[in-house]
Amino acid sequence: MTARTRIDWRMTSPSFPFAVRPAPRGTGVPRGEFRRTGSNFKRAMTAPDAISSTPSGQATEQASALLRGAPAPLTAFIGRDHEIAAIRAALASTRLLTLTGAGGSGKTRLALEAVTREVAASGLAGAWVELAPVLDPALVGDAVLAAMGLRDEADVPALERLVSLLGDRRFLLVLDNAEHLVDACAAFVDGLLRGAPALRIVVTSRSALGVAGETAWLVPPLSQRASGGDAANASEAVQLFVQSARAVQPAFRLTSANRQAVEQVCARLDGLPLALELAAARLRVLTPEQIAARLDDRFRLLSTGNRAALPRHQTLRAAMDWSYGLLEAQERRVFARLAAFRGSFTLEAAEFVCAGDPVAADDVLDILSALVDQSLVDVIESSGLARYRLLETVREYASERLAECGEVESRARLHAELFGALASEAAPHFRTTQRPAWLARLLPELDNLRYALAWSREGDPQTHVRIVGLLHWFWFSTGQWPEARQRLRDALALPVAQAPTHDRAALLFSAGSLAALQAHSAEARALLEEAEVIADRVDDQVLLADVRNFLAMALNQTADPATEAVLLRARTWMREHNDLYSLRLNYLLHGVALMARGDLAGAIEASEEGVRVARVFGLDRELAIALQQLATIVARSGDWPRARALLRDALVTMRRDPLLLFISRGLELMGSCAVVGDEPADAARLYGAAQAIRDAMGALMWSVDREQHAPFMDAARASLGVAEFERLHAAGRAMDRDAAIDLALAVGERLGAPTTPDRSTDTAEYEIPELARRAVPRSTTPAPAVAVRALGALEVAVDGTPLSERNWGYAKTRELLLFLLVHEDGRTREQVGAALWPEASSAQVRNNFHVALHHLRRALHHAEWVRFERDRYRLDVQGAVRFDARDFEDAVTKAMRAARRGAFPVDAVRDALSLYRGDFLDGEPVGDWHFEVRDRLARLHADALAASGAALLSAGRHDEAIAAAEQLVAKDPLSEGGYRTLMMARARGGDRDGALREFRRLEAVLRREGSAPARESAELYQRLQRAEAV
Amino acid sequence: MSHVIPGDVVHASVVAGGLRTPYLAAGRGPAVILLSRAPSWLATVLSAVPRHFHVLAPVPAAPEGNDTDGATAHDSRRADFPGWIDGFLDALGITQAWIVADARFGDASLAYSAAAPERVRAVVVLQEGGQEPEDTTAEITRSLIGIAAALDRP
Repeated sequence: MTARTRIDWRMTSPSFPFAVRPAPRGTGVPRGEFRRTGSNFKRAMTAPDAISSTPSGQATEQASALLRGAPAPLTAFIGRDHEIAAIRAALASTRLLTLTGAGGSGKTRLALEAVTREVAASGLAGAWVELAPVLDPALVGDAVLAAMGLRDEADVPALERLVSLLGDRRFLLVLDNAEHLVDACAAFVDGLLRGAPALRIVVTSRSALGVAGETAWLVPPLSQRASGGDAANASEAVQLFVQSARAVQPAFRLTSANRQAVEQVCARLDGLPLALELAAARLRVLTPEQIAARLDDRFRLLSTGNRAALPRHQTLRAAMDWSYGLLEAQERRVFARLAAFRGSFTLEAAEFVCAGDPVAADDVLDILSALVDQSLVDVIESSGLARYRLLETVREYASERLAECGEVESRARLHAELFGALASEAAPHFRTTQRPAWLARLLPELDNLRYALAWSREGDPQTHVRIVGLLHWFWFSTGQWPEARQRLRDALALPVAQAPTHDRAALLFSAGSLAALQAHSAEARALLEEAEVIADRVDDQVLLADVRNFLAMALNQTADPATEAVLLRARTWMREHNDLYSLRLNYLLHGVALMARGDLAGAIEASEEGVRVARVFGLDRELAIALQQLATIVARSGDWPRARALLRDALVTMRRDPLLLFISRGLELMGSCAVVGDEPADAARLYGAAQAIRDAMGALMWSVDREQHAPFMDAARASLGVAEFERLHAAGRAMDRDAAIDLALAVGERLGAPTTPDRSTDTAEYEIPELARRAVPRSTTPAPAVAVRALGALEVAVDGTPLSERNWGYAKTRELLLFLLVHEDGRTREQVGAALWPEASSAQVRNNFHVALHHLRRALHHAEWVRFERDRYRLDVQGAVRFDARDFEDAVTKAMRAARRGAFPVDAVRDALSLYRGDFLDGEPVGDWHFEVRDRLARLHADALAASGAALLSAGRHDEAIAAAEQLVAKDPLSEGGYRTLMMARARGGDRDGALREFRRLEAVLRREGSAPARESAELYQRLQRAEAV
Repeated sequence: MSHVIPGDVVHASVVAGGLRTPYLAAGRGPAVILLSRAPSWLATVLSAVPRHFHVLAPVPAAPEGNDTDGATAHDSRRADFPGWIDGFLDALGITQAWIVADARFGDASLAYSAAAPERVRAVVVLQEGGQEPEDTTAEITRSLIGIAAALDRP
């Protein structure tokens, strides 16, 4: 350390670095920052201003990267060039553009196309917010934050936070399906546009928001004007009809014979895209002429009066009635019951909610698949899994049908039961290394969880209270704290939550811990003290441990001397029960409390223990935070080499699970390390890079950090001179995050680190908790396995039990298994589709594939055996897979290689040959893809028989050689090698006449083919005739 | 009867069929389309109408204006009134409205009401009055009181 940077760290005021430090009032910065936020937001905000002016589809991929959250379009976009140009022109002159129109008029699709093109052309960053599943007007802002990739842990209204984050940045926000939240959106949008002057907003809604400056842009129906007589120049409406038709009938073509009927349908349906898709979906069973006639009958009744056309919402309604009317009774019932979901849902969820008189759970998949075929349900893919979804217009219609059945209440109850069970199953795993997997499981269900909460609040308050409590760690981990706190306040006020039960204790804990994290110390303390009493009374020790940790956090915020006693009281149980999640936090909080008391040595010791526990606990996030806390305290003690090493460890760990706030803190601490190491230039860069992250997040430095780093920043500035410091600081601000972390790591390495391993790496005392180990599915799956015999009659057994037709659902399931078995490295959905459904459209393939996949996973009893990685599906069976085709190929290939080295393993080949009971999938109803495999294996079989016969002959095992050669000539009657083996084997076995007969057999066979034996065969025959040894 | 304050008048626009129609709006509640020659004091008039109606007043483009879309819309109102008012209502997501029209739009409004009864609850044609804001305001307010009575509202 140089003289000019000498500072005695131990003299600086210790304070609490771990909980929330409110930003000063009036700064416009959200108060109470403890966020892990914004990586995506930063990416979005720093998108290049200009990428290229690429038109249309060329830019979609690029644009979707910039337009965060935009849905992937399921079909190609048709026409509407004029509308897209008009929308983009309107966007240039208005900051709020609302695309309006009847349900099903294609607002969302048009908005998506226009906005992605605009984003691609302008380089403007943006986000897409799907509002259809958002039920609570108060959650509009949270939905926007979530769509922008921001966590909502700050104790400030979402609008205020967004205004602060957006500032004067150029940004494009799309609010899709806002019609049910018009008032809330109006107020939100108005506030946002006033606060963020460079923001532009596009809304899709059936009605305008009525906000100053809004341009309500009515989405017209698809044009019905053709530009020419051929299919390529058909009207937009006809083109969409044809595209939709090909989704169900890939061979469908617009011809002079059907053109009039198609145009009639398009005219009757007013060119409304959804209505056209519903009508075209019926081409599976009806001709265009039949569709036109039936629509005509239905619509004639409706379009009475003076006006020629129906209002468009009536047109759509009639089209939906028509489509619904064509469903089978069971399909109607399942369709109506699907209205119980919000957002998308899985097959399993549909089976639970939609089964029941008159629908069996096992039938739901096929019915769902039929509804997909009829364009009433969309199938979307996420990480290789299918999820299903109803367009909002369709869901509303289904909802009316559900009400007609009188099942709204009963299905909502089942829905709440299902998602309550999911929350219950997930809850304990959030405190284990399984958290990322369970987060991935719950996040897609957020809309359904919210709906379950919304319904149960009135419909089943007891369930409501339970679910709210169960979701604590989910809210905690996803950072949706304001929403959680509001729900908790509501739930705690319900009459059913007043009794001192476990449910109330869970609510109190959740509310109290979030209040503590947001530095509402008094409120937190009251809630947690009551939770402690109840948890103790109901003897829930896990809850009690959590309660005490956060109670200590709240106490420490007011420097309450009871803090340490509370922590120590909780610790005993945590240690005894190996609750590493709580124990880690307990030690870290203790470290903070000790530091606040001025006991640096004690603080280091406690934090070291926290790091040790975090290492064993096993999640990067927890470890990185623990390491950073230890590094900070160690730096305060003046042990800079150790601080640098710990900080490097923290940064490397954090990189795997980035928490922006903590990365910026890490860069700042390394900056101060650089000052101490007399490297003020890198320090200035690191401070600048940290500042850039804070700017993007709208986060100020915690006061404790400011106190810690200000002297070093001043020292760097003094050392470099203000101008140079500012230049380097600006260079740091321009660095991207990875480069900044690289720089910090390089600085840490250059300045040197202790040569011995850090004390905090000694974790021998702790062991991985049982739940975490148990929760790893791969280690608990019983072996084995799958046994498939495909050479000859097909037989499949799972875990020793043969599968019957009933297990398979239908033949494609079996074929999918075989296809994946043959292609061990996996195949994409498109590759599977091309093999199994070569005639199908991509929409049909998507649907068929997931139906087959569901059946396969079910037949295997282990869904995880079919894995999806890097866009490919492959079998990953835990335990042995016995697949005769593969075993045969492996053994024979190996033997043939050995034969080339002169060591043919006769007995091994004989065993392999015994696997070959017949040709691959002989007689099975499978696609052409199997021919290549069948032929390859058949050739291998013939080669193996020939080689085997020759080897047995050499070994003097004449009878076996005869058997092999007989098999060979039976398989390939023209195999001269096989006949020669027969001749020699019989001759050597003493049957010279038999040997001669074999030649004559060969001669006869070849004669029928218009050929004659080869010279080698003829010479062998002559030697046999001369009674010479062969 | 409560009144909105002038600041609550919203200036916005509608694009339907490629034609842009600026409009002013105030209040929340049943939609009332105010079709008048809309002199420059329309905002003042609107700010005085009862708060519990959603009053929307399309603003004709100035003939000499450089907004060609607006000028086209202006012409369109005369040429294709039903198409224009349909588009205006559709773009705002209004399925049914009251229409309060001055003499210039009176006949067209009545004809539209007869052709599209599902979209028009009633038409009130304002009598020719003075050109001062207070005259028009008073007359519009009287119309709205009549509408309110029909709606059984205060």
